[in-house]
Amino acid sequence: MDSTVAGTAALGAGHLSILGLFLQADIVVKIVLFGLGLASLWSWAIIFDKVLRLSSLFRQAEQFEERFWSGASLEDLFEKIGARPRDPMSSIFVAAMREWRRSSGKGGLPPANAAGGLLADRIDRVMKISLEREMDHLNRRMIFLASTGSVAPFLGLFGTVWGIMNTFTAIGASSDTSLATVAPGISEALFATALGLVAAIPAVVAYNKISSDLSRYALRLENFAGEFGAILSRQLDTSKPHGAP
Amino acid sequence: MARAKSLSDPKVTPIRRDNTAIGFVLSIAFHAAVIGAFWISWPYLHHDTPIEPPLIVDLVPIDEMTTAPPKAAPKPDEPAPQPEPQPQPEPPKPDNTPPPPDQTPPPPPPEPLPPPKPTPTPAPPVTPPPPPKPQPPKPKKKDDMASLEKLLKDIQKQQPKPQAAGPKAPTPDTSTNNQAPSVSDRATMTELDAIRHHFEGCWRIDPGMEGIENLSVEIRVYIGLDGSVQRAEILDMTRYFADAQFRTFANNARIAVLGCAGVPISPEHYEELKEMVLNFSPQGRIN
Repeated sequence: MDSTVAGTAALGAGHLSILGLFLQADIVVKIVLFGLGLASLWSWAIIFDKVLRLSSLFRQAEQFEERFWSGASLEDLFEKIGARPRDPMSSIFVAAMREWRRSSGKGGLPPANAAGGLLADRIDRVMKISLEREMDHLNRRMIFLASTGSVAPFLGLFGTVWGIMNTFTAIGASSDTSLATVAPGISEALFATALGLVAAIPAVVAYNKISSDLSRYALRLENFAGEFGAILSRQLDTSKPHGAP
Repeated sequence: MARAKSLSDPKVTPIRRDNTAIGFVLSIAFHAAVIGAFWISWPYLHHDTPIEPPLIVDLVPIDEMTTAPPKAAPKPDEPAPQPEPQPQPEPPKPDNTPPPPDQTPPPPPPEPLPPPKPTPTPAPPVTPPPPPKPQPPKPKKKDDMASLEKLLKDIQKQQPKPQAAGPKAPTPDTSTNNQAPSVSDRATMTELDAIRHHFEGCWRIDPGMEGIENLSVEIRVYIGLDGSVQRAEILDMTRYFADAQFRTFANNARIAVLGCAGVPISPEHYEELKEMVLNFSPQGRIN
């Protein structure tokens, strides 16, 4: 009786624990499971990274816009932020201000003779380039989430098919179709699909969430760039008649 | 030129704080937590499930009583019917055994007869039936023989009746006795009965054993998850060592059980049925 109890206990433990399932698996299935585990690990690292960064980006954008619209001098703001902008929005601001300063000279006044339209174009272009560079940097690694979401189920399915093939081979070899022969192999094979889905579902959900957040943030940056460009060009227009006479 | 240089000034690029390391650490912690949660909860989940379902049943309608109908029980109960008719015939046997000697004597009389009647001899094999008829003439010759043959005749007359009534009557009787409780026509069975039934199929009782009526042995059987018999213990070990007949009987039953794999035990009721005490009765039944 003791032996039977121990046997069933060992059976239950060996067949149902994650480690047991992994250790029993075929080498190909093991590789698949390992790869899926790594994919899950990395995609979750990306998810955490992106979520944390996005929340801090929104917070910093909030702070920067507050300071920007507080009515303080843009020159002061530029001096404060200096050459080390902390977030994309301030880096766009810095790029635009830098271009503005260079074009207008150290005095801070726009050149009287220069074509204001050209300067405004240049500022817009600089801001656009800066924005694209920032967004490109923010969008890094998102492709991994997307491909994990689409490929992981297939990889899991491959592991399952392989495991079931092995199971059927084993059934054929032992010519025993009892549940005890069939069940462990099937269970082990299905574990691969389960892991594939476990890796894919959060990746897909997070990809949708993060990419929508990123596009919201990109829109916010574009709006800011547009507004700032409008402010600067208005400044040019108002200073032109000033310098012309 | 100077502008171009200053445009590509690296200072413009913002400080990009890399959160990847933090994310990676968080990811590892998250996975460890999830795996740990599964590790802990799985065994409990799976321990609960087998206990929940109540006992019983398959194969046949469930009832409070288990009734074995004449169709189902006798056929698989091959061992049971075999021993049963034999013990009961035992009383008639004494009756039967005398007749054979009686029957054998009648042939001898015909043998003496042929000499008196050489002509009818052509068909000696046919004669055996006629002998009774020629016999009556003989009594005239020998009184002793006549009285003896009368006796034989009487016995022979009596015999056919018991023979006709005996073998026919006892068999239905025994069958009804065996499956006595068949009140209803429906076959009902608990899983326990199915297991008993399975063991009965493996057990060949020796009905001719001396004193078998008084023997019955209780055996504790341990059944494996795959339906194999893992162990069988005879409970009454004192009698086992003291009584040679009991030892033979018990060994017979124990060997039958041990060699009887494929017990119809369902995994969900395994915990209740993996260990049971079976009582082997001399009628070939297991209770």
